[in-house]
Amino acid sequence: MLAPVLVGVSIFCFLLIRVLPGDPVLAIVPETATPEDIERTRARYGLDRPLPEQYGAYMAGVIRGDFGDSIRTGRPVVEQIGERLPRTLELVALGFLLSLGASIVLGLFAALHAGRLGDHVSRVTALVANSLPEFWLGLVLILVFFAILDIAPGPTGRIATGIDYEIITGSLIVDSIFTGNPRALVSALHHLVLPVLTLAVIVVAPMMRSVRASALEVMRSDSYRCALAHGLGAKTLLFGYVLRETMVRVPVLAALVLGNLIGGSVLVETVFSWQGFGQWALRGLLLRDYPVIQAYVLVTASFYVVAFLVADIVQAALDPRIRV
Amino acid sequence: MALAGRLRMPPGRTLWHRRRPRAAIGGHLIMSGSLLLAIVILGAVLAPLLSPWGPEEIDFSAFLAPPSAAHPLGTDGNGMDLWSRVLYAARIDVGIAIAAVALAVVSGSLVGGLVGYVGGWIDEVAMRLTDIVQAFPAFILALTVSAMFGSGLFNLTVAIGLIFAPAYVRIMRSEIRALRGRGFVEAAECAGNSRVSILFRHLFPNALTPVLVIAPLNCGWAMLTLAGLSFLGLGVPIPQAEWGAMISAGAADVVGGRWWTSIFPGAALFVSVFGFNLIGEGFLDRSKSG
Repeated sequence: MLAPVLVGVSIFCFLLIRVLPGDPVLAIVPETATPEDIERTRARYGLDRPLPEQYGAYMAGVIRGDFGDSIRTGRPVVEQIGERLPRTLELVALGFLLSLGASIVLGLFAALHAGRLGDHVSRVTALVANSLPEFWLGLVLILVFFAILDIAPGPTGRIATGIDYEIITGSLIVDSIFTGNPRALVSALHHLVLPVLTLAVIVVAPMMRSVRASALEVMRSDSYRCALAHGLGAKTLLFGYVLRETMVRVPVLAALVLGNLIGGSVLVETVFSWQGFGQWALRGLLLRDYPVIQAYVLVTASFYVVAFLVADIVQAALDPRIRV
Repeated sequence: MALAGRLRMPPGRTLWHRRRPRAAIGGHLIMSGSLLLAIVILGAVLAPLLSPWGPEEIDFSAFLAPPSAAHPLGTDGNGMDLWSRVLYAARIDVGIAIAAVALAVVSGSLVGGLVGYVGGWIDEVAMRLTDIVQAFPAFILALTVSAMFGSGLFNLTVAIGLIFAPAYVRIMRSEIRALRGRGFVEAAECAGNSRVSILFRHLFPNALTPVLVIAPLNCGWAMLTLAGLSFLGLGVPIPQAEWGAMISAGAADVVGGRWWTSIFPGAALFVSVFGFNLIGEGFLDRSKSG
């Protein structure tokens, strides 16, 4: 069902970036280039062919796993994705997990205190978190923990300079564990703290609200009333009933949040000079590097699709009613 | 045990507890949100009276000066007064956010109402198109649209409006479809009203509530989008006073401990978004218990 949306997104993107003012070919040829040089460069990237043909050739490549070459650097786009995407995924995955854990704890807390002070406090806190511009929050954290307290590294990338590390997957945590490099691991984790915290804070509110609403719904259900009337212990009620049934309702929203995080990581990446996937796309956009923008849009849209697929699977695993 | 006490049935919607209206709390939220926004808007309107400096006026004796009597919030790296810039920026940020959401509400509701009422293949096509726009990364969409028409405040408004319009298309469409078969519509049809009149005089007014409920939340979100675009250098051009661009301009100073250039505009942005979110949350409460 979502595959047609992906095709639609790719066509829409393809057309949209081509109506942008600015010619990528003129941006890369030297000033002394003759009209023949320009035409040859245009032909090198296939930009002289009719649009349907360009699109067909592009999609044929995508199916084979070839996203074309960057117009700006001449390097294969796939290679650059392999370099940039793991950096962003590492950041987003950790921020998401932290946020998910916090939202379950806070949402349950709010539900157990429904209509009381604890509920109101957590609600206002969620509203505050929801109103924070993430790029500003990142700067505030840098100010407090780097400029003033000096216990976190500055926004200079993913690892301290002067530390050797080997790149296998592109995720510094995974790579440094694989290669048994504790110095790199510690430095990478240290650099991850502030950006991960920033991402976690800005997405905690919607998930927490959903956990609270689901938990309240569970606690008002007949089955819960029955369990309560049987005099079950607090632990059984909380973990066996409230938490268990609440978790069933979380995956779909969590998938949406995860998809949004991947598509919206560029602001936090910029603040922390992360040089990740989002910043790569931003640069591609400014330079009108068509293959880069197309690849970025396709990959982020695919992540939505995959996230929802995983959400369905997780939901089925958690909820026996869904299994057929 | 405290936990056991908490695990009893929660108040509301049970046999034993009278429902405690959240609407009462909603009223407080709307009031405090409106108050915050009123302060921001008042500051924006009265900016020339509140600050002796112009938003782009340079004080050549104070570059990157910390807060002082002459410059209550300090100056930025260009020697421009931050207090004045923060005030003037509210005009752009709040103005564009409201205008963009208004544009999204009007255009999205019109399209959503029409396709919901007409139905058939037009409806199908419109829904698939909103799917595509909504699956598109927002900042790429905003930039391409504003780049297409050339940069400028009006084009930014259109670009941000376009990001938010699909949500209204969806809401309005489902509302209209739910109302279409109701008795009062049939009555209006029997009374010989034209389809246009049924749509505009009978359906739209009844479908408007859910659309308006989410509008304030979207205003806050639109403001964050605008500031985010400007932060990336894709929004309001420098040196015009705009919170996102100001945060970006001061980002390097924050790392060096000169915090005022970024922190104050960001605080103003946060307060305004918070105001919109309080109102939106209050609206949600009201609509649920209404």
